[in-house]
Amino acid sequence: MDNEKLLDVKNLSISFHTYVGEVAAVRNVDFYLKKSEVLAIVGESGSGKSVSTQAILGLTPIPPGEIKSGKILFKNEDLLKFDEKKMSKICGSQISMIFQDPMTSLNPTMKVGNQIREVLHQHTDISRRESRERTIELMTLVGIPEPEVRINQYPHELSGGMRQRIMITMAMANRPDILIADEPTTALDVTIQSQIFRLLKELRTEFETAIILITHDFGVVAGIADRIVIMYAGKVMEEGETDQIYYKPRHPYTVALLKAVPSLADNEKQKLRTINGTPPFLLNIPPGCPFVDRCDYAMRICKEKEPQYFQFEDNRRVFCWLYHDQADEQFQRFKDREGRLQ
Amino acid sequence: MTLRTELLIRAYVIPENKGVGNIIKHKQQLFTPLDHSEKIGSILETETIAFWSDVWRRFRNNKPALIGIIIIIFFVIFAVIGPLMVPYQYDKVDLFSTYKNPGGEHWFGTDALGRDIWCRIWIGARVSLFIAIVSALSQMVIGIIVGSISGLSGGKVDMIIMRFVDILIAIPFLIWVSLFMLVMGPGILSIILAFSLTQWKGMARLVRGETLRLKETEFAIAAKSMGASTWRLIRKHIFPNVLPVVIVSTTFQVTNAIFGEAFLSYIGLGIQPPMTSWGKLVASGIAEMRSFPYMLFIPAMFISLTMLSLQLIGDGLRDATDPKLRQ
Amino acid sequence: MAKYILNRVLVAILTMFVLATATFFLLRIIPGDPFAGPKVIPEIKERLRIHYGLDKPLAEQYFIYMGNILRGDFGYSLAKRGHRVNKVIKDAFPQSLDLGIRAMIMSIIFGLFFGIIAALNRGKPWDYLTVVLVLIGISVPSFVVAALLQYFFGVYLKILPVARYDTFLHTLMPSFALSLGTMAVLARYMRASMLEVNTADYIKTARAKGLRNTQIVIHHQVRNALFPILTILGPAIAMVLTGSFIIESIFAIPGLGRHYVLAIQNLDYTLVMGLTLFFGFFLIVMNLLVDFTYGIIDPRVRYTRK
Repeated sequence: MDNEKLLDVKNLSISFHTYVGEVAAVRNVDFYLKKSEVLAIVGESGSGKSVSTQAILGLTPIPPGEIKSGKILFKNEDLLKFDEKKMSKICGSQISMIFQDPMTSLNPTMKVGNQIREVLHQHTDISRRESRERTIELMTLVGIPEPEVRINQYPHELSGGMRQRIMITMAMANRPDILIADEPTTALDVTIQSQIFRLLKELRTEFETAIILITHDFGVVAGIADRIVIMYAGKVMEEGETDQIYYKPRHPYTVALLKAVPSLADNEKQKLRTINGTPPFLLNIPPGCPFVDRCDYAMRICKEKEPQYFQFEDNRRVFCWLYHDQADEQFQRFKDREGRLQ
Repeated sequence: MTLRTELLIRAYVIPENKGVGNIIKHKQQLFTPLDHSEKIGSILETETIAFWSDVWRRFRNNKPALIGIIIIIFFVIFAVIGPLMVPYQYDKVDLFSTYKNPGGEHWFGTDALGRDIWCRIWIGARVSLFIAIVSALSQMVIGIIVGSISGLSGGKVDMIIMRFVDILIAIPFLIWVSLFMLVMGPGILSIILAFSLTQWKGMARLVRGETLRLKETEFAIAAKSMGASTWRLIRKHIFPNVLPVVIVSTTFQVTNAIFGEAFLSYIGLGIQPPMTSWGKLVASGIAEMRSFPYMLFIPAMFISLTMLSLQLIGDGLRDATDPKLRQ
Repeated sequence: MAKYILNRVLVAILTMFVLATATFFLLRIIPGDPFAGPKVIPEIKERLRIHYGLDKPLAEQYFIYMGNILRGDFGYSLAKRGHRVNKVIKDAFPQSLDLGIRAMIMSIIFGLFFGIIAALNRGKPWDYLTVVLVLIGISVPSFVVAALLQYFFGVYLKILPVARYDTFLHTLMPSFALSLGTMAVLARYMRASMLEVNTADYIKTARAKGLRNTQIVIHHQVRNALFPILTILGPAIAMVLTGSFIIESIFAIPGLGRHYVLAIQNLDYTLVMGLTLFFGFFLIVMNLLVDFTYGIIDPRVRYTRK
């Protein structure tokens, strides 16, 4: 696998102008995606994960939103500078996105088959007969039974899992280089969840499509992601390869997230571990690390100054003062308590 | 120590040109653990705004709605003092001064019988506004009562009432009202009765919907289990919750009533002379339009402005009380 | 689906029944004896007595009345020298229908058009213009508009005829005046519907598919925005119908509306009731048709979940 970055998001900052003031939803966010890899972006609601990825496809509503800084490099061009026409050539053909709730994400008054064919006709010179055949092919590939029947059905006639498969069909129809999946299974049953993830993995192998998976659920990520980016309050907290993050988390937030995932090893009486407090309101952002009020290892500096990013050899990045050389005592406490660090 | 010194490549901030520099000086203070009490500040700090003050704030920001209110208040004030501002009576016939143009002694001119139109406009305002407001209010009361009873009772009673409402709705407002007037004979009271008794259906439906929704909530069940009487339930639980939609709806009902009264006057079922109303003034204006257009324009303008203002107020109220627009 | 149709038809029949009964009783409770009023000529009195069974007991009268209606016989007019109500309807209905259809078409075309344009140009001049026009359309009563049009185009400019309904030119002002109210309502609802659809997730999906704006607008936005509009089509028809009373009176068009107004003014009670019944039945049937159309067109209603 070559090291070239397929997508490179640099210093992205997005704010929204509301009547109470300016809300900084995404703040100086950096991440990248390599060819055919699966990157998971994990975070609570409001962490900025959806907003940052929607900006890739130009889906940020520009009033009230504003892109305050940043570059999104794709095939050596900055997507943020694309006008509507150029962007529309990319969306659906080179980069696709699927959303959380397939019921509301599909046009209720249009047959699902036509919605798939629409994206084919938009980006290729295919004939009507061909698009119908291709749609049936794709639907079969994605695991939809009886595609000749389903192609003429409306969204409300299908089950949730089926609808999400239709969304995936639409997204993959033109063999995109990147698929962005924004919480694709949150609105679905757990049993369907694993089916959808398995499907995504198969598609990645088959089409060599890179996937950005957005989720708030740390549990599902292990089976599918190559790398993980953890976001909180509009900033990237930690980034690294999946195994490393799971077994050797370095940011207190990551540690807390992992602890919150219930495991089969817990006994029945074990209470669900939660992180105390709530994410900060992104209106008048106080200085310092956004996680300071909920962090068990916070230091004075954490309240006063925003941390630096500490980059490590094993492809890791952490946004935390614990990794400053003057933080040894606190870091030692962290190491002792959490014990999983190498 | 091993982790950091061996694997660490670099430390940086984003954006990279912000200057990393060695900003860390006083280690003792800065890298000591943070006391729990110092962390509290992160709790969400939005004020909890009481519902009605929020409504008021939003309404206040709505300029057209404010203009609407100003106009209505203006009209109401003049309805009271207007006729007193001139030495004429609204019903005083003066055959020497017929059809005078606006301006001069008669600010709005005179009509076919020499009556001063300024007076008649403001007397008419009293009548039209009175009818409209009283009708709308009684519709509101009837609607709330019927709606809540229907919603609370559920089952057969609800079904019967709703079928009844459906039938009422099948026939347009103006036809019902005309029929009523035919039977009852003209006059202010008849008009108010006619409007009140036939137009409560919209309100009833709204209230019924709201009641059904509230019936499911816990506190209503709790109240009922404590033996609260139906009346109390309506008063304390249903009423405050339906108030926003009811107010908006009532405002629009006032516009309907004004229009309805004008219509009735035009076809002769409305106010009887010598009493007058805006509808009647417009009706006579239409008859005289060819030669004396001011007789039409002036009352037409007043009716239109009033209906416009009420529309703006109604829209403003609706936007101000819409829960979806709260942020 | 069949159940839906059946339900609706039953309700419609019930409504018509109640309406007929209501008119029967209304006729009877009018103070004084409507059948013996000053307008009624003696020769007619006899005919009325026979037709309505006025000397029979009330219950029997009721059955006679209902029987008449079932046969489509709406009785005799009191004032018009004993003309049958049916004849009045037969003569006047075509005019009213013509006027009504023209007005409906105008309101639909312009109303929807302005609504769509306003929504697409939110916050820009077209939007403000539409909002203003809508407000005026709702606030200024139709008879004022009609009278003003009549004055301006008929008396002042003298380019359009002010009365009767003989040529195409005759139809312009009345249909326009009649269409305004409904046009304003349709524009406003269409605009709101378009804006609401705009925030829907499937529009986001459409953009993510790379569809261009025009494509999105037509196939996704307008299509979905139209559905809620169907639900107000019924009341819109009612609006046009009642509007016709005034418009026909002002423009002296010999339609049903004008006859209705005249009947009221002449205290021609049987004609009033007859026309009321006709209007009522007409609206009930129209509403039924609109319901059916909605049921057929909206795929969510058409195909129930398996």
